[in-house]
Amino acid sequence: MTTDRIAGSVLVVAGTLTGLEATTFDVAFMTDPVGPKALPFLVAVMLLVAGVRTIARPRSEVALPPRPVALRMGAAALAFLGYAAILPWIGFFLATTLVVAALAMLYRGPVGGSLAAGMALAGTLWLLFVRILALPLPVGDLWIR
Amino acid sequence: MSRAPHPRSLLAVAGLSLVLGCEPAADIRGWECLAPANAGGGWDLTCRAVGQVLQQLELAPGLVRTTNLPGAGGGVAYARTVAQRSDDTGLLVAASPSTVLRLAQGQYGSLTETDVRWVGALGAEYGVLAVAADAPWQTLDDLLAAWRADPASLVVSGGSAVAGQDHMKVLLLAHRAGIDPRRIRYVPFDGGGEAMTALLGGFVQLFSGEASEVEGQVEAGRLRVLVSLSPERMRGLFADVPTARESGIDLTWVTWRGFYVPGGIGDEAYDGWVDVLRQVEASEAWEEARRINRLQPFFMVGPEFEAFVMSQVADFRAMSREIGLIP
Amino acid sequence: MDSLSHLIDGFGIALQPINVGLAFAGVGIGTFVGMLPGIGPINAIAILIPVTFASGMGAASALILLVGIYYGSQYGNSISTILLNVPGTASSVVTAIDGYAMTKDGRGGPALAMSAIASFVGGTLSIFGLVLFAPVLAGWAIRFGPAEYFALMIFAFSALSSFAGGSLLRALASTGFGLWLAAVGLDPNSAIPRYTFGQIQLLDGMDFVVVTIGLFAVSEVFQLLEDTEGGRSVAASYGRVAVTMKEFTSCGWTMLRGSVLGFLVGVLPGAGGTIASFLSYSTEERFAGRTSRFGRGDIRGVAAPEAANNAAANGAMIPLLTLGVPGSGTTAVLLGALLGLGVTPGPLLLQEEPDLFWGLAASMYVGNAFLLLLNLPLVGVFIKALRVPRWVLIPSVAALAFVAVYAVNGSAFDLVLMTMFGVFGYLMRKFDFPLAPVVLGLVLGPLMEKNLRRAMALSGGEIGVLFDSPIALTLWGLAAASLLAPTLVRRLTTDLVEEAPAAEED
Repeated sequence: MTTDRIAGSVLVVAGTLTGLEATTFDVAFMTDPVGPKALPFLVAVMLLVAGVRTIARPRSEVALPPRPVALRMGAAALAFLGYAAILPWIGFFLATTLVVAALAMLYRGPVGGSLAAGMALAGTLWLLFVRILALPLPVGDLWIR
Repeated sequence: MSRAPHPRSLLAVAGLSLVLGCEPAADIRGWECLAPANAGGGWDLTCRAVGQVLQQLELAPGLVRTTNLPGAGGGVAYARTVAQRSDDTGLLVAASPSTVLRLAQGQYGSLTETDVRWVGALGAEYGVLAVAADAPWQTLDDLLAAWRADPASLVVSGGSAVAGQDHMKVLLLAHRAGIDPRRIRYVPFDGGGEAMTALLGGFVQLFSGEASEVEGQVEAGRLRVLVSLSPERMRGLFADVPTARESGIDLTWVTWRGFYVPGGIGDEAYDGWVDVLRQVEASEAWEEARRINRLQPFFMVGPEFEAFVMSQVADFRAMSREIGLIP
Repeated sequence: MDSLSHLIDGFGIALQPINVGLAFAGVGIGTFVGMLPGIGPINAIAILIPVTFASGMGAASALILLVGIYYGSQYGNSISTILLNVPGTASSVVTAIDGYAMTKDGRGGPALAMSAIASFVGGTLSIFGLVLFAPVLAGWAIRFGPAEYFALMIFAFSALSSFAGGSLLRALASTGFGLWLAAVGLDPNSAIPRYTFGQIQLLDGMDFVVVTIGLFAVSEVFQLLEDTEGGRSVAASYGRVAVTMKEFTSCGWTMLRGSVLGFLVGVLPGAGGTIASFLSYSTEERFAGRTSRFGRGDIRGVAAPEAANNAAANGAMIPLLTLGVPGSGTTAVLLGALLGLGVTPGPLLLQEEPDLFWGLAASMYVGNAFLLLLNLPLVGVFIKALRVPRWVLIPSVAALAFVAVYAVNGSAFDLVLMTMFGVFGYLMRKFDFPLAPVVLGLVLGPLMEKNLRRAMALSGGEIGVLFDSPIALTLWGLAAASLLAPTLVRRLTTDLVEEAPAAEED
């Protein structure tokens, strides 16, 4: 019961904050009779209603993943964030190689194989997106001279 | 205007040789044209068209790459140019009055119009106001008479957001015609096409947009263009449409297509860019590219262009204050 | 029958060897780039535009190639949607629900094949519509004003209960979240920022690709990690790749209804394909009744949205060609190509450029036939991709997601957002909140808000304008019927326990 009550509380808090923030959307001059607050207030009401009802009538407990699994999932999320952090710095190829290798290892791939997969994938994607589709993927600052 | 080999080349070599062992593209050194929007928009087309001409004329040292960097209506590209590329002599950034408008309204945060150098414009579109073919107004004067009598009786549609280009041009026109801009009813649509469709459907009475947007409907006789905001009459389909000046209202709306470059490149490099744009303008290749991109001739470079941009900033800022958009 | 003789002339153009070749190249490229989520087709078209200009090919030939990429990408997109749970466009989000469920169930082959067949049916039927009704429908699109659009959005939102899984309440919360995401950014009607937290990157609003890839693909990476560690296997077998006759016939009417609905909605500029796919899914879910496996891998849940979104893609050619109104990022690039080729979109296009219009229409038949022939054999190839070891496959999906998200704005900030949505998506699944309504809110929310505000601005605050036209009233009626029908059916049939245990969401 408690997990659902937590989810409901999150909804209530989110709805309240959304509504409070919406009160600050003041326009200097009227362009339309509805204004920018209407949609946010609707959202606030939806979240509050859903939240209050969820708290009032919780469902059965949600099974959270056991600690070792949760740690692995946290590590995966960190790998994602790490990717965002290092991508502009070390460039697409290296960053992608590293993150793919890290994820592969989290999925219990062999170390060598994971690294090889990372490199092959990064190279292929680079070819595909930069060479063929001309997307500007970052090169990174590491290699300047 | 030479640069060190772009680091991308090194990595491309690494990536390619790892996977295929094949050769990298011949020459990665070159210039970059930054389009502050996604592929397909006005800024993107400007970059691609000019980039191609630069290569054709062999003005550039190798390739001219078009890079898309969308975000915050050009704000992300502006910020990056100022913060990270301020002395990059191989970088052109596509711009238009939309860039200037956002600068004037402070939408690029703390950055201002003097943080970059404005090089020049190579072509333009001109603003128009159109009504449905069966509308009672035949001329701009008819329209203004009705509008002055009851400003709230008319609703204007445009393809840009509130305080954007299409809104601003109609506000300036109304202001100069002696109508209180705060009483103008403007409804924003998603792009000129939708705004024009609203006019055709009879949901609004006036359309504010660009000449190229209304061509098809004017040919079909469904729309009437009352005024063009060009300095002189346009050629071709719109030759019969009077300019605002002819009707005694001192307003032009030039949707120029041009460039700025980073602020820290020095006068010599800046003059070099001005010279490059002059050569582009003089070429046949550009005349052809301009035709394909449906741009009208419009050329302005160097200090003259800088002064022009500054006066646009002043105009837009004053109007945005007038309607209470900015303090 | 005037149209038919024109169409025969059109085939004369489309069947010229060069144009057959271009149609094939176009749909081939389209299938390929469509598999890459996000902005694949836009970039492929943007790159080929200057090539077509420079090659000096006629406008008709150039369009046959470029438009081929456009509708071809619809086919390719369903491949990554069904196999990997990575929908690349809003109009294929619905396909992910039952399509990916089928893949997890070991029925990815039939799902892919059915998607190709439904796409073909939707594609070809809608070309009939294009050929027969183009001039009439251009007029229908014009009569759709802000009030009508608003009513249409209400109708679309009324389809929501079909995506609720077990609990309407939770679907309500999901939709609220989607609408909140829709509000983020600079408000176009008042130029003030909403919920941007001072981040300049958020001024443009939440990008669909970032949100969807995060919610669907990234959360799947977490979910699969949990499943793997828990020792649960994902798919039993990948044996069958073909559709059985029984499956095919069960989808007959579904595809037909989806095609008609998709085409009609697609003609309206804006989010045609998305609305069409959501509405056709919810329609079929209701026709199917409570005993169906909708939401848990019903093949009709793949056929309906795929027929509808392909029909909508073709329908969207009408406003593009006759009004110059693009309905999506890809059609916006096509509009640029049209102008560059010296073609002025407008009501006269059909008369002034008959070769172009009819040649293009005929080539779409050719292209769709190619697509079917190309995609059915490919099913077997793609299904094999799933046999790649888990530790290679999942990181590959993640890397593809990174590229798609990074390419949207060229910023690492979006990768951070994507990760947040990934965690969020995982938690939402865990707590049984459905994901599809988030996308519905995000995509349709702005259309609903903008059109309500436009309608009110036009009427000066008079609310009656919303119910002023026959079209609007019809749509309100449909919305009411859609909301009431399930309740009525429930009352009449059984005593369904409220808040019944929800079905497996993914």
